[in-house]
Amino acid sequence: MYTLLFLLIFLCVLAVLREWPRRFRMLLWTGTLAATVLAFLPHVLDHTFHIAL
Amino acid sequence: MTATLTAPAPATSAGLSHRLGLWFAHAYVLGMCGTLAGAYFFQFGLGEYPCPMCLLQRMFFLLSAVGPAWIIARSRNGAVTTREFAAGWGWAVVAALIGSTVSATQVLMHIVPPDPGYAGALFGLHLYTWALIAFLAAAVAAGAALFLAPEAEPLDAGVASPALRRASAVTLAVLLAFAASNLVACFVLQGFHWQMPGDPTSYRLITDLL
Repeated sequence: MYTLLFLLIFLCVLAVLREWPRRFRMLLWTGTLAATVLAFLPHVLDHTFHIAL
Repeated sequence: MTATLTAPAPATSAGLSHRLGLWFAHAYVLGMCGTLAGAYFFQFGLGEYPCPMCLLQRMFFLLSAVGPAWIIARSRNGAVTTREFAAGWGWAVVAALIGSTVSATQVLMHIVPPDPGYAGALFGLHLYTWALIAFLAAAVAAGAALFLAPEAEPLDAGVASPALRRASAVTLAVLLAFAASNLVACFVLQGFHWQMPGDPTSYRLITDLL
């Protein structure tokens, strides 16, 4: 899963270098950011922090 | 009697502050890459395996660098508009703030004694704590670039300055190298497995093949 996220990020950098069309580039960036946030969420939800708030 | 309306001519000639603004974007991208180089030192120099949270923080460092990198790439072909400048730095702020949330979460995961923390420390602080500091500093820096947009937007500095034109090739190549090497390093670490253990102890692609 993390390898795929790094692949998406690599594509984001490639989109910068190749100056892909704005709409496609923004879609790729936003999708990658959203996917990375989704990959992060289980770490928060599954973890017991042992902190009384 | 007729009134003539004339729109103010757009400023396209880049002064010193505009060139410095573009240099600042270079410094930001290279700073993000430098942070990743530090992580590489711990991984390959000291033999520590990055955990999934560490990988996520690396992703947000790369993602945060993408915005200013786009300003740099765009500046090679002519004047950068204020809209493009703001979009690039705004993206950097968003990615840095989400990255700081990931780092803060990992700090909280290990903050309760007697948890020794994950992996080694640098000057008494674990890498995820340094990452939190770096993300917050990056968000402040990107926000400052936005605030100073009238002075710092590059205009045509990217094409007017030969040094900036040469530097853009180097900076973008460095970012591409770090994005590619992180992709390869993660693939070797994770192999063809969908999930990754929270505390990895081997490069699974290698152990699976051998």
